[in-house]
Amino acid sequence: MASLMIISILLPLIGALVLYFGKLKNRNVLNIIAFAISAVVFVLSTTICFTNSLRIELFQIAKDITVLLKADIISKFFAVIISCVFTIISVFSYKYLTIEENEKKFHSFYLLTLTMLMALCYAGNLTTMYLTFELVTLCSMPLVMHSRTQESIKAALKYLYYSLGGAFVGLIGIFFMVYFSTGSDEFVLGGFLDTVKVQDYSSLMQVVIFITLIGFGVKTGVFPFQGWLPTAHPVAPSPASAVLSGIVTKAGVIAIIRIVYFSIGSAFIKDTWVQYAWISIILFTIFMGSSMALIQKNFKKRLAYSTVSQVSYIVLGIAMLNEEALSGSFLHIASHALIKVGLFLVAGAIILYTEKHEVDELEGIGKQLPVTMICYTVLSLGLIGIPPAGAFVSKWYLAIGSIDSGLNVLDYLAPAVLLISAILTAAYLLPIAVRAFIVKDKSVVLEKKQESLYITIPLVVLTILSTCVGLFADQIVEIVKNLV
Amino acid sequence: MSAWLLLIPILLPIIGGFIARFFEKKSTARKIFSLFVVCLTSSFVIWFTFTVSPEVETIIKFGKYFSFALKLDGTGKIFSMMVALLWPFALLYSFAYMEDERRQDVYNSYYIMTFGIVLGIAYSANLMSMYVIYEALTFITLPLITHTATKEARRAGRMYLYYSLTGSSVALVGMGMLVINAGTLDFVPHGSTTDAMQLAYALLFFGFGVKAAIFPLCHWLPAASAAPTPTTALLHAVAVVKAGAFAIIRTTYYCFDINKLQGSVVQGIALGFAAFTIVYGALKAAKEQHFKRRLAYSTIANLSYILFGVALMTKAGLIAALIHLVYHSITKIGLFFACGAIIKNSGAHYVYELDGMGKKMPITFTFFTLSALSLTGIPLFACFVSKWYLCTAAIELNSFVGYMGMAALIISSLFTAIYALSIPIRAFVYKPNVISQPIVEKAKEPGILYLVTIGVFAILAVVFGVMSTPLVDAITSAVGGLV
Repeated sequence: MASLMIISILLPLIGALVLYFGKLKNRNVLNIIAFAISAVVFVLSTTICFTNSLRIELFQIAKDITVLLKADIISKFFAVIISCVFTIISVFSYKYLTIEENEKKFHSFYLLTLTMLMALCYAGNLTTMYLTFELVTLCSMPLVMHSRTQESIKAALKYLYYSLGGAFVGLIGIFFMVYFSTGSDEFVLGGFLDTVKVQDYSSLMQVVIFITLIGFGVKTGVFPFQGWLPTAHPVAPSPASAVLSGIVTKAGVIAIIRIVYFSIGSAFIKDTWVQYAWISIILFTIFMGSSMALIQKNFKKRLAYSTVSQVSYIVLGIAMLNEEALSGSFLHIASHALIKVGLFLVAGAIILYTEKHEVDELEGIGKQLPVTMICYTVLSLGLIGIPPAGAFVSKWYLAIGSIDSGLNVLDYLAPAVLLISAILTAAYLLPIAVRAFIVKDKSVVLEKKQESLYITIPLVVLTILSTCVGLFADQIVEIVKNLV
Repeated sequence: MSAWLLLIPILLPIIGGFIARFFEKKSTARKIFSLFVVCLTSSFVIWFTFTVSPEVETIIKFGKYFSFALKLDGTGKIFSMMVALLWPFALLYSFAYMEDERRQDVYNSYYIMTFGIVLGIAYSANLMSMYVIYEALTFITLPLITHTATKEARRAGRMYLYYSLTGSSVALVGMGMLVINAGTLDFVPHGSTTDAMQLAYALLFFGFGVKAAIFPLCHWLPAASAAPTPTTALLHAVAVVKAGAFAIIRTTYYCFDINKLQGSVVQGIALGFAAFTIVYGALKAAKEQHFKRRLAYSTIANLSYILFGVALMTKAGLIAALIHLVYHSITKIGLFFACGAIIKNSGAHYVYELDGMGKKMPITFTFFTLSALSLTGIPLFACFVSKWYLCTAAIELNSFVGYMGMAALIISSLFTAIYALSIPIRAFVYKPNVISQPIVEKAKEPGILYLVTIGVFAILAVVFGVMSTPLVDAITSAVGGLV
């Protein structure tokens, strides 16, 4: 059964190579290949969900450096979400990419990113995780600079150097964790650190863990390293921004979960200055992201800042180190992935049909693109956390978890920041929806556009799924039950 | 097996180099003969590596302390093996590169002769022998640097000479202090010193450190990039500079007692300078716009990775240093080969002249990208493995300088990403700019000889990145009895 993991990694890899080097001209074929492969990977990931834990040692680079794949509950959870979203986006790309050139390259790097993300999900030890983490960056970078304009290349380089720099800093932590391990760096619930060995160095280790968490946090847009998101997202083609914002930021989340719960063990940093400092930075990021989103005029930039704050919700849930908060975090991973991808696809649909990028231009857009904007409205309400959307449940758990955390000051500060941020979220998302449907100036004639099914179906599916995430709350609580 | 046999691979290329002068300048026979000599020498080296290690053999004796003696041990095997595998490819590359150059036959002779000298360094059995051959290396490579005889090249040659001679005279003083204390200069594991000998160590470290380009003695190396690219690739990325690093390995682990030096002030100084050079080299490389000089600064940083590993004075440190010695050689020679091919086939000398050249030279730049990824230390490429071992060794030291060095490595990695990866990005992604437009139009994919030699090292960087176990095991067993 372990071969299922390998297939779900190799299949998109082969697909990417075929698309890149093959002489396929027909764009229908290109798109069908990309869609079919993503769909098969989704089916495989779902199948893996129903198996017992899988584990396979692939090869050894050198002594102590082993490439190991493992499917535990975390891997399964992320693999399903990522492959599901990839499948949906590939449907959307079919119509959207008519306005972009060089479709072959886009699909091939798209599948390559999927390959590396799958490998990241199934990474069974720290080394493999680091390896795939770096490769995710390298493979998703070409998506950012797809249009090859000066601006997009600059953005891609910024993304590359931020992410590589973050990962290099994280590597310091990996070296220390491997050094203080009990012999292997394979992920074990509760951590693999040798408690006797690490005892004399615990203060050093805390510093190291802190910079490691921030290092990997660069991918999640933690302050002050959030700069790459608002630069890279607007210039990328919309399906690519969706992938970056909804999925690639989760790569950082995977890394952080793996480090906190499976490498060092949550007890190691619980109630230490590391937890306090880390949570403070996250809270600031949440607030800063939301307020920055509010003042952005560019639609995609606004969504990018929204990602900065929303992904930090997820990291906050991880950092609280208790069951409720972590449940909230997992729920938010699922709902944010679906909602943010949906919102970026909406932005893409608007660009596709009207070539409008700025928020102020969107007045009356609801008359032109009714289905798209209805989806937008529902998705926005979801992100703000209006029941019954999934994000409502997740934020509820996050708030409860924060209060339960027993941390001084932060236990009340955190829910307060969450509340303020929710209000800000409403403030930066809802006016767009309102103005889209209510036009003051009646003289402007707005023609209803023919919305393609390739655009509306993915949007509707994402909207429905994101609303339904809350229904799975019990299952997700079950997942995290044993983690803390 | 007698160590007298070791004279064969040392003398063969030197004599062969002389004989090669008698051939017609442009003749194919000269090339075939040269290649034959180099391949024969390499075969000897490989044969010796896999047979039993010979005992120390004194070839000539000068008085009580000094003798010229040869031996072959684990460390020597690794260094000689590496050089022997690189030289035939480098020679092939130099044939392609020097095709239309003036005085290519002279160049060729010195190129071959250097091989013997470098092997001599690997096979020396005591510090005296190594010192003599090390001096010879300085002089034999001088014509290779000044080959083009331009003003720049002559200046580079002068700088190289002054720096190297100063370095070796400093080392000579250290050697004198050593021989007074220890009574012998023989290479024996853990040395024969009776106390720490910190000053002597400092003198030898910085004396030999000139060739290994440690700050502030590194400026000759970027200047020397005025030499033809085969020189820069083989000598200033591998043979000469690594001979400096190798000399430091020899003195540290075979002349001094590392247990006495461990934790001493001089170790802190050595580590500190290495760490500083790592950052300095990487920063300068990121700032440098001249293509070859950028790679030269990168070499400065990477050589200090090796020196840092050596100065950790632990088994893990030595293993890491040797791994990086090999992997950096493979990677950097690949980068320089690609760089030379680009310079020769387009005329671009500056990085900004490469904008949009990827379309014209896709294969060359693909190989360049692989080597550049390796240099950055991306997993699945060779240098990641050496970076891993270096950092792990640094942690094991459990001291402030160790952690500082690790931080230096990480900072340098980031700058490596900037200076190394920006070149393929410029070539593949950027559109030709005003300056690069005419150059790109002229550019064409280089000939098969270029592509093969570049490709071999790019692919080796990937292969070693995926399976390093054999090499790491070989190095571990080679230094096994040592520390």
